[in-house]
Amino acid sequence: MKKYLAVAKATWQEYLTYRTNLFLEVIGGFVAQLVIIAVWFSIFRDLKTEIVAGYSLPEMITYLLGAGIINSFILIASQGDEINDDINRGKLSGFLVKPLSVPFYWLSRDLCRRALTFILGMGEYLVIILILSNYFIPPFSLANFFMFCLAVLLGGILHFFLFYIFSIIAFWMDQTWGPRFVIRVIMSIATGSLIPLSLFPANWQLVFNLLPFKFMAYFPLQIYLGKVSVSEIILGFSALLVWISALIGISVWIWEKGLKKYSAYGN
Amino acid sequence: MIAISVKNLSKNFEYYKKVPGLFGAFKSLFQREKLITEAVKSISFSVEEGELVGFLGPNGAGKTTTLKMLSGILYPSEGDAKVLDYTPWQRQKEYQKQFAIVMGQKNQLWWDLPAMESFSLNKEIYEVPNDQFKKTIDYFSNLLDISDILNVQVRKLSLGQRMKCELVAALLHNPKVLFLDEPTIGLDVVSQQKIREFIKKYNKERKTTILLTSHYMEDVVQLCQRVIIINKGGIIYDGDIQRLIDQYATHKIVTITFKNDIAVDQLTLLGEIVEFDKRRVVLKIPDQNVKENAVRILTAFPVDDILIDEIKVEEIIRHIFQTNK
Repeated sequence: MKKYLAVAKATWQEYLTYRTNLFLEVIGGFVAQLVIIAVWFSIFRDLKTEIVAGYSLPEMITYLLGAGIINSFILIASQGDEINDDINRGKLSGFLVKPLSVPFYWLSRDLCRRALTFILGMGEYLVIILILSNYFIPPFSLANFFMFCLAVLLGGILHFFLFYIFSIIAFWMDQTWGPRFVIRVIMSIATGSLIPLSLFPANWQLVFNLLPFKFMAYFPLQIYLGKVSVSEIILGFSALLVWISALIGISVWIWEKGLKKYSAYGN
Repeated sequence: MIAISVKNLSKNFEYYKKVPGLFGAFKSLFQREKLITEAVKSISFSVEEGELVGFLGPNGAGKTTTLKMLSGILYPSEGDAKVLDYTPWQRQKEYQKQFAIVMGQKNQLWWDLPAMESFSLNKEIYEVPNDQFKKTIDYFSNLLDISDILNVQVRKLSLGQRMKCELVAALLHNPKVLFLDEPTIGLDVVSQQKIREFIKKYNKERKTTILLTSHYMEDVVQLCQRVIIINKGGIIYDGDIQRLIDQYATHKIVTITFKNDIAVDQLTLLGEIVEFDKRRVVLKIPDQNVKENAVRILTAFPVDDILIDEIKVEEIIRHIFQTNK
């Protein structure tokens, strides 16, 4: 454990030397989210209604602000690049000779970066929340807030393993950027961070329900706003845990296979 | 005690032939030609504890592949190896804590951080106690003269400074076995010399078993008593480096500078002409004739200067590689 804390500490310092880059990454998502918020303001104004698809204006704004904060935790453009490069450029060899678990090394670095972009994102969104405080709704209950935090954290882990799997395919492919780009495109809709998933036609919702992405933004925000029942929460968390376990299982299997290939062919 | 023992170790790499062009790439989706390279062919050797052995060979000879197998990065295709009684490719933590590998072409230091941060990280990874860590850093800082660069970002260091720090990072946990893969590659002559002196001293003081690869002859001649020469995956010489020199150095190199221009045909009887440039000639003369021929040259020609040298070890090695094609 101490080893991985040391990895996290060094990673933290490394990212601080790139603070401008990190800041810009978070700012980019932030601006996009502000545009979406402005759009919803005008939709509510033009439709002259109180409720759109079960959301009041404050609920919608709170949903989008919350989604923005979650995005700073999971929407990282270069997600998986480092793992891909470590494998393809043979840097992995240097890790393999050390008494260290390489997947845990990557996970430590990843969580560290998430924490950093999250802190930056929090800072930005807190300003907007203050400005829009009339439209910002506090969590449904304290219990809901804790479950919301837990769901966000688990969603982040789910996100890591999903991209991790598509990064260690680098054992067989020279570049894994393509598949990861496709996931990112799907993710931008299917997490529900731009539009709540309940606004989509029924067929689409059926598909989104089968995908793991809704656990990254939509599910935690539903808990925050108190729009789901206790049984739905329990069901959701169970499904989330099943997804995480399944992805971990698959990733371990691919890792072992990949390592065998790496040891056979070298890099 | 034997630290490293290698028995009939082989490594084959399989790969698919790449056909150039778009059509070729498309065709290879359906039909691929499998090729096999034998990077290491059934090599055997053993290294005693505390020995410093040079692993010599041209590019692609199989040196790095062998070191990678001994550090557990690669599985062998056949054969067996034991380092400190461990099978390297099982990658046991107990083994990993007792050896280190330094690859001259790859760095383990974190590029954007000062070297000291990488050292601290290795301290945790290898679970080095605090006081030992401090003592080791002090020891290396003095020996390598790097105390003033420990807190400078690695990317800002020169190649020589970086290699020194790479060595420190690898030696923090006081490994019993050390693999050095081209530790002096790309360094200037002064830095090369410093790294060599350090390796020599370290081996003497700590009794660390060191296997060193290089294609710089000087590294091996200065550091190692024993040399293993490898070419095209096979060992072609394993033994004392001096014996190798004695065995092959049957000639001397005589360089003569004349006061006037000389015609080349006058010299052909005296020895094999290696170089000729009007007033300067380089001759290769068999050992037993050197004295006699030198006297003849001095009396028969207007000699300005005459130099008699041993054949360079590089020449010997080149000769061995060429005759072993």
